[in-house]
Amino acid sequence: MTLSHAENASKFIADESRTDWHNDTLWFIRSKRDKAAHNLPEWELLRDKASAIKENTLNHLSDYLIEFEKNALSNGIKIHWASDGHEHNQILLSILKKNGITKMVKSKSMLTEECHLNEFLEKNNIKVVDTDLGERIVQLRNEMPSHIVLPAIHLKKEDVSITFEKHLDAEKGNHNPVYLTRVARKELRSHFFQSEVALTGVNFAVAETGSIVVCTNEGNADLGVHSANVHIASMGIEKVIPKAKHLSVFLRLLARSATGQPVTTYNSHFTKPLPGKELHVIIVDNGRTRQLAQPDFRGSLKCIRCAACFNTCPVYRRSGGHSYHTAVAGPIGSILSPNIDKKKNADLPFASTLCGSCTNVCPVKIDIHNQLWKWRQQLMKEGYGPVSKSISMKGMAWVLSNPSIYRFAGKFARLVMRLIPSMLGNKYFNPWYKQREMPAPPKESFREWYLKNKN
Amino acid sequence: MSEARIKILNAIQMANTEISDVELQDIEAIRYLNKTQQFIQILESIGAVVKPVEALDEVISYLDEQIAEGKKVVNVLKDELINLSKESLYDVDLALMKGGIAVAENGAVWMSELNMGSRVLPFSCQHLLLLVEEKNIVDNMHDAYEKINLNDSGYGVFIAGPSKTADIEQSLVIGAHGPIDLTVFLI
Repeated sequence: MTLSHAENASKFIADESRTDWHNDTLWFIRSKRDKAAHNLPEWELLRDKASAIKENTLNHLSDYLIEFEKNALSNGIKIHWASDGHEHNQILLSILKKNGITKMVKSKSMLTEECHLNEFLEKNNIKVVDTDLGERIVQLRNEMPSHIVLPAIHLKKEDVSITFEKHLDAEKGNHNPVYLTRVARKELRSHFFQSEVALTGVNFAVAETGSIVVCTNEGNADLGVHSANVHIASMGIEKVIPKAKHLSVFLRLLARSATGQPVTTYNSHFTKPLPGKELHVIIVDNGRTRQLAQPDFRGSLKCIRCAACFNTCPVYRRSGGHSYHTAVAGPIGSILSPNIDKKKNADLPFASTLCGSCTNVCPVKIDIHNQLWKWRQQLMKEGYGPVSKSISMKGMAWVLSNPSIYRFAGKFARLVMRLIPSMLGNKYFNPWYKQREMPAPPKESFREWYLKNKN
Repeated sequence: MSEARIKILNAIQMANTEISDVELQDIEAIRYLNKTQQFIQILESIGAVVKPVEALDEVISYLDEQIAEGKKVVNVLKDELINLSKESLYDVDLALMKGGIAVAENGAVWMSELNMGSRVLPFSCQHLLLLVEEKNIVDNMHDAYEKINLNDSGYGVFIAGPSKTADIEQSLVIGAHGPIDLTVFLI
């Protein structure tokens, strides 16, 4: 059984200094984002424009997908459609089998994480090498990425050193990030060189030209793709944008929001495969059309996966990505994941303080905290919410709607808190009291004080 | 036509029965008093080296020095790599190629595959050298895309600096899997 966000988080915060480090590191990235944003006087207009382009895209999504397909086909790209993760994986496997391939290099694709592709391919005896450095690290450790832009942000260099010593023959005890990066460079360049099939994600698909755009800092997507004969690109239906000129808006926002860089190092536009080579694009739904049909949540499909909402979130920073037990963690993941599996992910919209910082940094202006709040209501109404919450909320509603009972309850609570403080402050009954002290209870309520003093 | 395609497109149309359209307006983007200066400054801040040159000869004599030191050099301007195998492409020390539109706001240089010789070379070489003409510098990405047509070639890439990663404890390491440095000769 999957542990809830709160249960996972309590394990994460057991190591206090590491929690502090995680918190500070992500806040540092958030401040770099602020600096980059403040360098552009038109930043807020850019966000408005990006949001409007995405709104327009969602409103005419089928038209743009058809236009993209038509243009991509005439460019010599092969197009596949998959209703869900299972279909996506089957299509991919059939391409590999047709080419007699048993090994594939893969650059970062959150969609394939969502489809549990690596597990599936391993079961079918296909070896997958993740080539983004952070993803390679977590893959060697048999872990999930904990952040969509910085997959190994939960690890320290000492952890990476041990992993590389075990798997890549690195020097014992050498924790130097430059050394460790060079070790991975050597290993991965040999994989690139030998690669026959390369899988990438898709940051943007341009309807007007039938091109796909992939952004990396390491150059791993390009090294894999250009060395292989077959390039497979997996994209969610929401990745399409109308025109090439719209790329300017998104590329200006993406890296600045993600890491504070003015732009990602490599922004690759694939329009036609080379003669004799193949380019396949798999267009995947996997619940996205369901999300599109929900007015409260369709806006979440505007997401460009920059993770600015992760870096700013006080709950993400202090609970770590693995606590979210899904491919996409953080605030946006907590909106996307309940749509995929309500029962399994009902805890996630509650893993938020609803402070709204996520909404303030989102480059495409998704009202993230409102959507989290709406999910809470919907999940409770449909009976997916935590039982303790539903009982206590019903109890609270009853107390609050009856003034005399409210007054009695207040008096009783003050008495209990004075006489047996451990009862309400018991962390087993109430997880909120972990790491928290109760304030001293007042002797009388405001009402009692007011009645005594009003004259 | 595949079943999934029909299913997906139908589901989208069902979801989009009540929509209100949004208007897309162009925005005024940043302009610089001195585009060249901004371009140089931002490139240096993202780990690239910028060398202003008066003539191509200066670049060629730099390449000659490198060859004399025993480095494997490919000058794409002179079509030097027609017969290079994949193995040799991974073995190149220095590769010189001509850049297209250059962007002052972020240091990105547009590279069309027509100027790369081979699609893999800008990534597989150890040191990438780009020749950028000062007259090709534009203020921002909007201006850049006005001048680029994606259908002109099968592949193109904006390159901004050398390959890099910060995946280990957020320590910036220049030289991830691609080139460990980038030199822009500004002419």
